[in-house]
Amino acid sequence: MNRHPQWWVVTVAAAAWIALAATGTHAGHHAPSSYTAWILMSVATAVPMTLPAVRHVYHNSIRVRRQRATVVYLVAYTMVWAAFGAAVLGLAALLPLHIVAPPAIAVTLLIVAGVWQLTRTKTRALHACRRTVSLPPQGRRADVACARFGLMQGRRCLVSCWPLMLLMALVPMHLAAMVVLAAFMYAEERTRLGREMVRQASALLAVAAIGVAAFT
Amino acid sequence: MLTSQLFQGDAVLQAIADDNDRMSRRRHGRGEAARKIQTALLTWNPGVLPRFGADGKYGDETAAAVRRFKIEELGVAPADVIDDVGPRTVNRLDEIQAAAEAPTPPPPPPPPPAPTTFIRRDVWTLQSAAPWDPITEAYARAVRTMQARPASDPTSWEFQAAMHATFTTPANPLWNGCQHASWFFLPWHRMYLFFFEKIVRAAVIANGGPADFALPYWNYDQPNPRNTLPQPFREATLPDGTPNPLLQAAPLRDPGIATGAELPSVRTSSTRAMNSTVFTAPAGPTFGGPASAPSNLDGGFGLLESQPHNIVHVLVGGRRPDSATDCSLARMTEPRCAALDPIFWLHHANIDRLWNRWLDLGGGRANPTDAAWLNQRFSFADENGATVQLSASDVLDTVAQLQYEYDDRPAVTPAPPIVVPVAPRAELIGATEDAVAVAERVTVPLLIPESNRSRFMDLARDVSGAFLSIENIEATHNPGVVFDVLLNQPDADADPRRFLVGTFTLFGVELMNNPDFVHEGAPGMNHQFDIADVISGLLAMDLWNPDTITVTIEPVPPPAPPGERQQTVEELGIEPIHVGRIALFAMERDDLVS
Repeated sequence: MNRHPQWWVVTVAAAAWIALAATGTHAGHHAPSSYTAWILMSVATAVPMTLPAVRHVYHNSIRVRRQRATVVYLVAYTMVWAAFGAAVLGLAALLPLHIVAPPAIAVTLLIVAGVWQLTRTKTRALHACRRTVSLPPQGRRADVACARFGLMQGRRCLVSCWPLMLLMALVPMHLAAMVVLAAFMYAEERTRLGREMVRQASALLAVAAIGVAAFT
Repeated sequence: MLTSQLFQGDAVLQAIADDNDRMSRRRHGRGEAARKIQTALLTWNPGVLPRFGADGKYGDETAAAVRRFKIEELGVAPADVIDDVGPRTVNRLDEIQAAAEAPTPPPPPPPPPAPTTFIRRDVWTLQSAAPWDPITEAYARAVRTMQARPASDPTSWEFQAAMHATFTTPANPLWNGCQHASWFFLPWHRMYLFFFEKIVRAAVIANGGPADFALPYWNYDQPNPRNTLPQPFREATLPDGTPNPLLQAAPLRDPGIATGAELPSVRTSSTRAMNSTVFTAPAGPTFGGPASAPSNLDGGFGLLESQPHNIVHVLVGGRRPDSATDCSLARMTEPRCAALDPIFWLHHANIDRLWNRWLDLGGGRANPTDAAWLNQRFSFADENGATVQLSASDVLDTVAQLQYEYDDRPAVTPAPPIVVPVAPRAELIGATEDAVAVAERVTVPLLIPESNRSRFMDLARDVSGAFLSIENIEATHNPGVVFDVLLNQPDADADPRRFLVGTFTLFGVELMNNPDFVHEGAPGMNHQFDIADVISGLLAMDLWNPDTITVTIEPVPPPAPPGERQQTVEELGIEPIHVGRIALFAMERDDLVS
């Protein structure tokens, strides 16, 4: 428990994947047609990426506050994704997106994601993934600092991978495709190879765009 | 007495040698004696009997050969030559034949081979008698040679310095490789020095210097004068009167250090680092630094890197104004300029030496065995300018793998280290509530929550370790001064040595601030100090109390040039640095828990 303080956070993320699989449409295609689905998807994909920060919060809080601090951090972190989802789904409802074929949206967003990989902003966002906020030991200040840390990390993560999250928000896709995208984002954030190959990964996204265009 | 095997025992030749007989066309003109004379003449000059060779007949050809021998070998005037064989001719031919029969003399001894182990020596030992020694002078001349090479040449001074870090853009792929605040700090700098030394040695040999050249090291943690900048780095000229490339006058170096001010032993001592028995650990201060991916600057420093490494960089480099954006001043203070100062390499040789000496201490001290540490490869340039790669596993044994050692290697090989299972469990005990800005002496309270008061008092027990963590330190630039950290110092006048927890610097903060450099904790630098000993002292003075614990951070004025007044903290006028949090952690090790 002390060595793996994030165990229940992993459980929550796993539960979100199971819920996504269980509530899928008959054809096995998923799209966050509801806001609830978007929240499930955010928890399933974005929470695993922030586990090092969860560990940091846990180990930098006094013993009696560790779980509370972790919850405050995660709520703030998830709120960033919730706000992003609300904005995206709200806009999508207003725009005549239904006249555009989903594969066309997917190809466009994969190309955008590929170009985004080449930007300095993207690289900087990844480099800053271990930036922290100092946590006071107790009281309201400690809660505020945990919340600030969660918002900061959520925002940084959003800057890093918004095109792919947008893709998952707007395009109905098979659960397997969602797993692949989540694994891609996880590798970038959490593995050395992923961080070193940011620009090269652009080619993978280009291949994916061509694949979608050719086979749909 | 005839000595050649050919002539020995021949009665006719012996009689001639004794001047009792002679040889000519008519006397002894046919037979073995004549053949032997012909053979010896051919030994003298293989072309002297072209037609008949050694046929045993004393004819015109032999007579002409004897005549020529007498003129050329015996120096007889041509008019006086008689073409028969007398004692002088036989004796001289005997000598020539004997020399030819002797076994081939052994070839001259080969030049002494290059030493199998190069010895890096204490620079102050080299210069005990005079400012210059063959090694330091050879280094100076090699530096000059390398400085004359174009920056595009991997063996040039500029290229080598840029491999650490550089302001120059666009960067060569081999540049900006330095590893700091990471467990790769020690192996990366060992590899860096190893190839640099090869480049310097090649230049030394090309300049006619000693073939066994090895980088000297500067061990500043010794009494005066050894705690001052070595003399060859202060001389205006080399022995031949040419400018000294090792000299970097102020403002390239701190004005005090450049002119012989002492480095204070309290800040150059490696004792805290050497006392640590752990190279790396998930939490708490360690000898070698926290595990990390390759990165210019990760979040936390190893103890040896923090002190003396960072501190000596800043003390030697000196003050650097916020406006400085190049290498025209305070080079050692800024990682992008540091390796341009020739003393950089002697400083790092000392750090590398201390790594070896730490392992020699035994008691569980050992290098990491993690594959991620052992197998991470880094690229450098060798003495031919070719790109080469090494990993930590290639540089663990300096003698067997890299052919060098330091002159203070212990005579007795230490016993293999005992591996102590270490699983530190760090737990936050208390911390500051607000960020702290430090431009002069600042004292802040540590808040110890009610729930942690008994744990706080337990820190004075042996089963617990404790460390103080100075976290998320941010500044736009490294101001080029060091900062002392004191625990529960009652007032400014109390003896600071009793409460000193350690000293930190902001060496590398510019790289951390740069969002384009590869780093993982940035911005936000962390320094950790083991405080078990200080706690014992405070407990003895009845000053270990959760209600009154404070931490003082104080910028330290640089050492004054000899004979000049020491600056006060107020006169420093540094831009404030920001400390995000100061935190007190308890650390329990599995092997210490009873």
